[in-house]
Amino acid sequence: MTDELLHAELSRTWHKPTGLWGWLTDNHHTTIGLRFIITAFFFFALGGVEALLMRTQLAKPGNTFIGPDLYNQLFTTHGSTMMFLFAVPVMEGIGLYFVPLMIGTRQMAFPRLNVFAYFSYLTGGLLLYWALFSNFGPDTGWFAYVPLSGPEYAPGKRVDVWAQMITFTEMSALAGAVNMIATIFKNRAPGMSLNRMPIFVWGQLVTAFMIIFAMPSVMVASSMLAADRLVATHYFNVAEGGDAILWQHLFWFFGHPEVYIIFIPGTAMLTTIIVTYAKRPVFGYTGMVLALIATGFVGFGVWVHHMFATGLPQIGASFFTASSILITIPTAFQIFAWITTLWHGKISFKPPVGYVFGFMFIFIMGGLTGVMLASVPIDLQVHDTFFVVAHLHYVLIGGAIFPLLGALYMWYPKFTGRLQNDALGWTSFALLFIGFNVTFFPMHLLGLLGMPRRVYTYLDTLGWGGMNFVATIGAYVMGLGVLLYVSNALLSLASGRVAGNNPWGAATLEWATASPPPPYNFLYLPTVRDRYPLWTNAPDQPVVVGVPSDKREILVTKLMDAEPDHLYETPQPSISPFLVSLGSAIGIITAIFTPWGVPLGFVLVALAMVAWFWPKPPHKELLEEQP
Amino acid sequence: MSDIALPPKRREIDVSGLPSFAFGNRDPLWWGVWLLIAIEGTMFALLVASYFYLRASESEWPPTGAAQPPLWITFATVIALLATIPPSYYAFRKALDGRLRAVQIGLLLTTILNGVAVVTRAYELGMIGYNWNSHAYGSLVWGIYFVHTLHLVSGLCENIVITALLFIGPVEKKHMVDVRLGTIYWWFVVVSWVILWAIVFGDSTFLRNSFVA
Amino acid sequence: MIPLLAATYQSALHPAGKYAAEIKWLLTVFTIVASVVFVLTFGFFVVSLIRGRRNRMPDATDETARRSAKWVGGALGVTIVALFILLFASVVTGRALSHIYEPTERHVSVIGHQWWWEVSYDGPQADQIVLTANELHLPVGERVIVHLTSRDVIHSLWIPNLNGKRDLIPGKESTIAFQADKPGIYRAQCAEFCGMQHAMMGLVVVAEPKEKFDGWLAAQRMPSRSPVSIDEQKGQQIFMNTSCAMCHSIKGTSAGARTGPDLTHIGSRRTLAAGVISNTRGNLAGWVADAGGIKPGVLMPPNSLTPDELNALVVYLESLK
Ligand code: HEA
Ligand code: HEA
Ligand code: HEC
Ligand code: CUA
Ligand SMILES: [Cu+2]
Repeated sequence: MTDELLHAELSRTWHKPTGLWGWLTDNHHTTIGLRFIITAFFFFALGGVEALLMRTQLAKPGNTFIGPDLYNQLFTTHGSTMMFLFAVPVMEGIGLYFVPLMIGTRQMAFPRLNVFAYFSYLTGGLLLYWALFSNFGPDTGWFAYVPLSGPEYAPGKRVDVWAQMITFTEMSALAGAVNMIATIFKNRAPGMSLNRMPIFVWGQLVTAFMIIFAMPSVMVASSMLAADRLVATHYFNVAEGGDAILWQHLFWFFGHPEVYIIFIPGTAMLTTIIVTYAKRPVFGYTGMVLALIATGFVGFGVWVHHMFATGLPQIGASFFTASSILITIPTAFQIFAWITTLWHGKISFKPPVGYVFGFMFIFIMGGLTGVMLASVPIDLQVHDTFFVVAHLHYVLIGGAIFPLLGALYMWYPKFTGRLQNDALGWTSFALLFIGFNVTFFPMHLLGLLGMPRRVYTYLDTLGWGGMNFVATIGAYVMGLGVLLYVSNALLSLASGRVAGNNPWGAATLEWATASPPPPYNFLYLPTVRDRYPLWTNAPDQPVVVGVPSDKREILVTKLMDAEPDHLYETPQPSISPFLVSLGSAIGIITAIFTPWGVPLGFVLVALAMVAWFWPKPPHKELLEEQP
Repeated sequence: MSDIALPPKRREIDVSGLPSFAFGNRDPLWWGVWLLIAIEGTMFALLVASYFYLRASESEWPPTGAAQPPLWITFATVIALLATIPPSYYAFRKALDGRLRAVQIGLLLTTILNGVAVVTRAYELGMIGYNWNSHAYGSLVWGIYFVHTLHLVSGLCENIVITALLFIGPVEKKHMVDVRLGTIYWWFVVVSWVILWAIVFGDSTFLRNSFVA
Repeated sequence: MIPLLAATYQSALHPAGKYAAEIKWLLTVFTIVASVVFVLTFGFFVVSLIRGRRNRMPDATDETARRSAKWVGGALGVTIVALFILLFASVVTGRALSHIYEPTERHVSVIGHQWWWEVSYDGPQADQIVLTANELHLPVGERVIVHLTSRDVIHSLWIPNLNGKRDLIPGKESTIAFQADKPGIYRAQCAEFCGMQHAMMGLVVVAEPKEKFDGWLAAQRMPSRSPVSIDEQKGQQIFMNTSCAMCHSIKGTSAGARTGPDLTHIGSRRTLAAGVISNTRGNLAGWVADAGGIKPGVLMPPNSLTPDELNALVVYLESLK
């Protein structure tokens, strides 16, 4: 078959359905990935606007712009949005888009599961905002400590909405993680043994494993909370043998890994940016991989550092100080390796390099304040103050959002086929960088000067007004930066220079195909012989032929060394995953109001699942024996 | 046209002869099932951890007056569950060679015993002498029961559907992979209950009020 | 006008007692180490950018990798040493601070409520227990153990000038100790989010010389002053006959409810509404008339007293020195 014919047939086979029906059924990983990213940014804008409202309220002492009730809803929704509806899903979306491209395959292992994950996520987000806009948004903070969030002190449905939003987003994240692991293990291009995978893929893999073991904890916790509220169980009710601190353990056993679930993909993207613009392999590949894995492991052993103020035996507390300090070592290694890579690289100064600069400045500072927080005596002073707010934004924005913005700039031509305007790119970076520091640096001092977090206002005699005012100005500058960043992306859609396949001369396989990638990703599945295929592949590097092009078949390879193993037909677009998420959505939302939502959801999901999995003709190879 | 800049002469790896499915860890879905088990196993482990966490600060455990269901009925479920292992293992083995008749028999027996376990489970639940809203102990035990019963019932649905598929047909070769995966998941349901049961009832039978605060 | 300088009476940077001073010392150590680490790491990074920009060619030979590995290894070594120093300093300070729980004479108990603090001092006899609210008095130079618990949700007691914080958890008792070395008035604020008025849950801390403190304690032990003037008497009647007595206690009268703060010596307190407004007649009247206007969501209902009645009530409360 000639290349032209192959292209025609693959295009037909992998055709992306369009229209509303297409929107509900299409399961291509680039479609779903992009959809995750765009939806996540939509929620980021909402969360950012909430931040601006909060900052406006805090700009001066005794301000009455926003009352306590609304303020409490705002910081809760802001935190929950940024963590559950923005940071985690956006990283997942980028993984969905790029992992199959980077490992040289045409599809995720379980395409329909992706569709389910997306709709779950969307429903969770819409549920939260429906509540906020109807003025019953959750108001007990993103970690919803009991008993404040329990039946007695939080009557009404606010906290139930929060708990079910958690259910939706965790289901989505878990589905995504299972899919990611199976894809990375089984769908790699021939030759891409585990130790040849791009660091970005490693980052996604470690993250997915962390999700698998961390998210069940918050699922258990939020289900117990929902049960306490709905059917009067006593998991957290002190009067009946329950315990409020149990909630904190369960939450933070998830909550701490959660921050690394956001951070690890961030560092993995940073590596990608540095390799791309320094034009050399990353220094210490094996060390980088081990650092990610080590962070993943140790990340499960530090959760108690969020609970020092509840009072723990000395020894116990020192253990968690030590583990929190231990976790800096792999991060330190990564930082040193990046510096080394740049040192011996040939850097082309593009805006993503600005974000590397931003990362280094902001994240290192945030990491260092993290080390301060890990020390029990210091933490007892600054716990629950704006010092922690400063830390968390330094690490989250510096460590994950800056790499994200840089990486999206780098990958923009791959998504759209066009380049962005560098001048605008640099300007928006500068606004974000300056705005960020102006906003959050003063918060360290505010915390030390006694300002607790989560206060809707403060007395003017305390003298926090000046620094808060400065912080508010900074937030608006950041807002401008975000607007400019988004505008640049939107403007360049139509007017950007055409990019070609590989505008940066980067090394990984996503750059080996057209921009944007065709629905089938690669005309011929590629093979690789080391970590940087586009730099070092042999001129006659083999390609894979013989994957049927009339069905959506993908090549499954072996776990360790990625030798071709078998062919696997992935499903056509279908409505069933949407129906399953619809069924579970009906059940879960009903369960906010009555426990009968659970059996209802169960039945609906079971029916939709049968429709999903019941084999439909044409049938594949039949068994010799038949009933 | 081509989107990849192909070198003029390229080598090719021809994979057209590869099979269209594979058993065991070569199969992506096998990973899916094991990861699902990891997720749910973690969930059970956390429930058990919560159980011991709350236990540690109580002076009576179980609380006085918390009447457990009679042991024989809990045994009945455990035995019904354990009894599914031989037939399901039989199906698991025979699926490898595509022996449809044998697989049908194995799965049919598994499904019936699974149904028996659901029935005894219903009796069990009816005989628990306290409620989820009686005290934290009740919440924990009912919580464990609830989550596991959900698995038991979805296991039943799954077993019924797979068995029905095998009787209705047409049966694809690939379905033998699904049979094995379904069995693996079912074993998880069995094993997790045996462990949970041993913890809850071992504790209340042999360790009643020991190691309390 | 927005003040540019923060006050020093609610600040971890202005210790007024030795525990806070120890923590400040530790904080200083950490800050110095962190600053050095930051300058070094970021400095190397900036140099790497400059060099990387000048380089003609990327250099990824094995030889370079070996040389770099030495540097990276060295840097990691330094990191680990620095981390050990920090861990050591932290644990040492932690142990020094744990001595604060050694037995002592003086015990105070603080109970958290949405959104105020109930404070009580042991007395030799039950009727000599001092019950007050939103004001914690400490004798200078003496270690005081504070027993903490909560009646509703989790709160956190934080007097930054004196020590770190400790949560008040319903169903649990925990302790913290303070020692004020400098007399003065400090402010504490609830640090754990506890609902609508978490922001307005302040506590006045008065550290005074022993004699003054003893005098204060003795005065607080007394039952409330009986009303003298007509207004005061009328005020007392209103207090007893309207809803007030259902929530508040005034020692020496029939009002004994513990839902709201004890008011036996409310006239002697510096602030009202948990450290939010100063205790003036106008504020008191405003508060009693409509507490929710000052602290929206507060658990004290407004009332419909006539101006005259309100005036009498306020006169009475003010007289409770
Ligand atoms: C991206 C997310 C992210 C990351 C990466 C981190 C990283 C770290 N965090 Fe942070 N953390 C959060 C997100 C994150 N955190 C959030 C969201 C909260 C608040 C939750 C809430 O309450 O709402 C929080 C809160 C938090 C607390 C609880 C504070 C409190 O509530 O009282 C603590 C305490 O130990 C802590 C510690 C640390 C430590 C030790 C690290 C380390 O991993 C940092 C390691 C990095 C470095 C140290 C810098 C680079 C290293 C070098 C340059 C080498 C040399 C260094 C030395 C010699 C020191 N974090
Ligand atoms: C990834 C996570 C993340 C991110 C990115 C941010 C971003 C920001 N955060 Fe947030 N924050 C948290 C996570 C995050 N935050 C968490 C977890 C908490 C704790 C919550 C809790 O206590 O429960 C918190 C709490 C928190 C507080 C403390 C509230 C309190 O304790 O009382 C404050 C206060 O200043 C704040 C401010 C900001 C600001 C100014 C930004 C800015 O960076 C935002 C910048 C973005 C914008 C300004 C949006 C711009 C967009 C537009 C202008 C619209 C454009 C429209 C289109 C494109 C259509 N955050
Ligand atoms: C339903 C219970 C309730 C009733 C009725 C009530 N109060 Fe209160 N009161 C409270 C609570 C709770 C607080 C603490 C509020 C806070 O600071 O958050 C309070 C605080 C106060 C304070 C401030 C105490 C301090 O130390 O800051 C005064 C004074 C007071 N009440 C007087 C009165 C008077 C006078 C009446 C009757 C007209 C009254 N209260 C009726 C519950 C009540
Ligand atoms: Cu009490 Cu916050
Ligand atoms: Cu943490």
